Amino acid sequence: MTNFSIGFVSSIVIHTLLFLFLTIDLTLKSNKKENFSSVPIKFISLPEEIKTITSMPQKAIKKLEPTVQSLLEVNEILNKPELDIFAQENLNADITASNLSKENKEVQLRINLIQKRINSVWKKPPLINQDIQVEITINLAPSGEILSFKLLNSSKNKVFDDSALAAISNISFLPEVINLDRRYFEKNFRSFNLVFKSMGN
Amino acid sequence: MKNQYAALIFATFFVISCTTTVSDKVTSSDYASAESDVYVSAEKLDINLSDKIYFNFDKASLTDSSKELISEYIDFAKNAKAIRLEGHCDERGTREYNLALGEKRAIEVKNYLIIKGVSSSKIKVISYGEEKPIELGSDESSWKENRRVEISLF
Amino acid sequence: MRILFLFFLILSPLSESKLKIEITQGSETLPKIAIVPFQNEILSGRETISSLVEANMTLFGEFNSIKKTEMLSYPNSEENFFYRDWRLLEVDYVVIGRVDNTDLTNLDINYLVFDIGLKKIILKGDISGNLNELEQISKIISNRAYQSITGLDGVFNTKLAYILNPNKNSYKIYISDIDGSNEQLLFKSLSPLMSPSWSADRKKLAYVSFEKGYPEIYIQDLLTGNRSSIDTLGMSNSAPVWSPDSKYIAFVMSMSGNPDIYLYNLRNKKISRLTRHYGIDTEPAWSPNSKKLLFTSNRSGSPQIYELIVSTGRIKRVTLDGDYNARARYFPNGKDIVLVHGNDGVFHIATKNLKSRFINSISKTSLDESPTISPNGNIIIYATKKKTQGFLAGLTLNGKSKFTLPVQEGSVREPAWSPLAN
Repeated sequence: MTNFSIGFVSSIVIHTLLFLFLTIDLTLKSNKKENFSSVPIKFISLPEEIKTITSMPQKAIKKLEPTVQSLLEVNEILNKPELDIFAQENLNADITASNLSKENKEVQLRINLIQKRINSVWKKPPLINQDIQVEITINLAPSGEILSFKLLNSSKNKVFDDSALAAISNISFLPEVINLDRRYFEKNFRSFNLVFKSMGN
Repeated sequence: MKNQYAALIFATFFVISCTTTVSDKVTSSDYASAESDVYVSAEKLDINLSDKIYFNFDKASLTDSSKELISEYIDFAKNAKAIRLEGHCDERGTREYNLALGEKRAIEVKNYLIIKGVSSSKIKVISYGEEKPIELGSDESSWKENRRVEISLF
Repeated sequence: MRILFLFFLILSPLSESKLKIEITQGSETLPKIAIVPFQNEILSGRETISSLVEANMTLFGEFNSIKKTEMLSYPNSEENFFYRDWRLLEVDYVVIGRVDNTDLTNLDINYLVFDIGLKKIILKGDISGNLNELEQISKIISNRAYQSITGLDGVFNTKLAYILNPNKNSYKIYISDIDGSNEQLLFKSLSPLMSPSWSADRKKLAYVSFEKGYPEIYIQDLLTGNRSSIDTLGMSNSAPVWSPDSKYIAFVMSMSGNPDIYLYNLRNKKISRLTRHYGIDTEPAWSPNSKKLLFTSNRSGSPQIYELIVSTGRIKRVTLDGDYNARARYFPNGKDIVLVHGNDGVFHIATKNLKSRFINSISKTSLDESPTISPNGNIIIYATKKKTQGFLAGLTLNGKSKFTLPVQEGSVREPAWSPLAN
């Protein structure tokens, strides 16, 4: 049994680390791209010595032919030392990483839409400054139909629990998941939890 | 299987009897009313001076011009039988706090009179807070008029 | 072993990475209720129970209601109640009932409250009374229904005390029902009246009267009209507040022109001093457990809120921001307070948690004062001004509803909400 749990825990940890590592890498890559393309424009606000070059366009273009070396020099002038790191990084795109980010975007979009829908129907009881929450498990069909739902963790406040259950009763459908990639649906939305909180954020 | 059925039946009974009925009976009450005696004020002395000292918002301190005005009262005050200082505030802020502030204002005037030689036992201080404004508007010109101490000599 | 470890590494356990979506905001629309006309509720010349209950439930703007004419059916028992009829109208809660009016001196009323979303009955009740008590009956039904729906105590049979100043030399204290009806004059005077305060048992009212020429606290017995004053040897006193345990009245006495907080022991009539400071100390307010007092003091240079532990005398400052914080009151939970918060001459009603620094303005009108909290902690009524007229305004704590109270015209102020009836 302990081996089982070690396996679970370490697989989660490693997956999370992998995910984080790859997303940071992606951000680095996109940042660098921006700076790379904007350097010629920014060149206009450079200090005096380089400004003189602008009056001689052709020579300037030759001089500022982007190589990693000159990029570094320009970056120094522009006072953006962190770009040094980007210039040195391995920028080979990882296909797994970009796919992961696409799934996250799709899922996050659906999450936001579902939140919006439930926000608009949940008749939140007038509780005064109690920080409580109730957790409800939802089982969805790919058509968006709510097949079943049940109380997972009570807030110990019957009225609060009831208000959350009533909100779900009043929606029989979550159409937001209809045109979602089936793989993403199975992984995230076949069965998920809604956590209703009395105090925002 | 049998156990499950038994549990189901038990649960159903429990759920039905779960909503207990609440019972109430009505009681009613009426209140009695009272009226106060009329408060009679004494004979005031007529003095040809402005009887009002003015103050700044949330302040009980005397300005120089206020001190000058009070000084003009000194001789009259020394000869009077009693001096009444009534403190008031403008409507802003809270009522009980203004009651205390009005009193502080009247006491400032009293202390100045005492420094100038008026006997303290002759001086009576009272505050009406924001309860008796002269001007009823809600702007600075009205509020200015209400932040006052009224001097009456008897 | 190692193969097993790797095997589980590859398989991500689905249950642990299950998606959790947080819902923190509720609907902007109010819950909708339907009060179905009770069977046999039409009694000659009287308002019906269902219309009285509907008026109560919608009084503070916490619910929307549907009209009789919009209803698809008029059930009066569980047997003829169909959830579908109400689901179609998007109603959240329904109240139905029956009146047994064969004996008009002892009406017998049965009622039910349904939760349409969950398809279940959340309350069954019965109540009896005579024909002249229809209002009280409706108030109690409203309280019960409200409590079953929101989890909070209903306040429909509570009272409001307030001061009326119709013209320059006329001051009156009134008590009315919370909806402004059944106004009763308690006391009238040619001199100012201030600071009405209820005893915990709702049988007495303390207030300040200037009838002797200076402010003095009077205690009036509501049933008999008898009045008595606290004997403070001719020194002015004011700001009376009854302790919830009914042992003391905390008040302000001005000894040698220095207002401080004192306690008046109701049993042995002894007076004891709580604060000793040359500045202004005033506006005491009891905590629900009668152990602490909030008060206003300008000891730091401007009016701010302080908290005093009665047994030890220890004082702690509560408000840190703003140039004027006064007239604080505890919420029933004892953890939050309501106060008057002023900045640059604009005064709002604000709330503050005792453990947080943040002061949260909740009213939008600008000459606001004297906030009073409903005994269920959900509604605040306060006094404010429009042109030269004072009137009472209110709001629910979730900010979704604002209302003005239909009390008398002519400078109403200093509302005091009674405790719950037991």
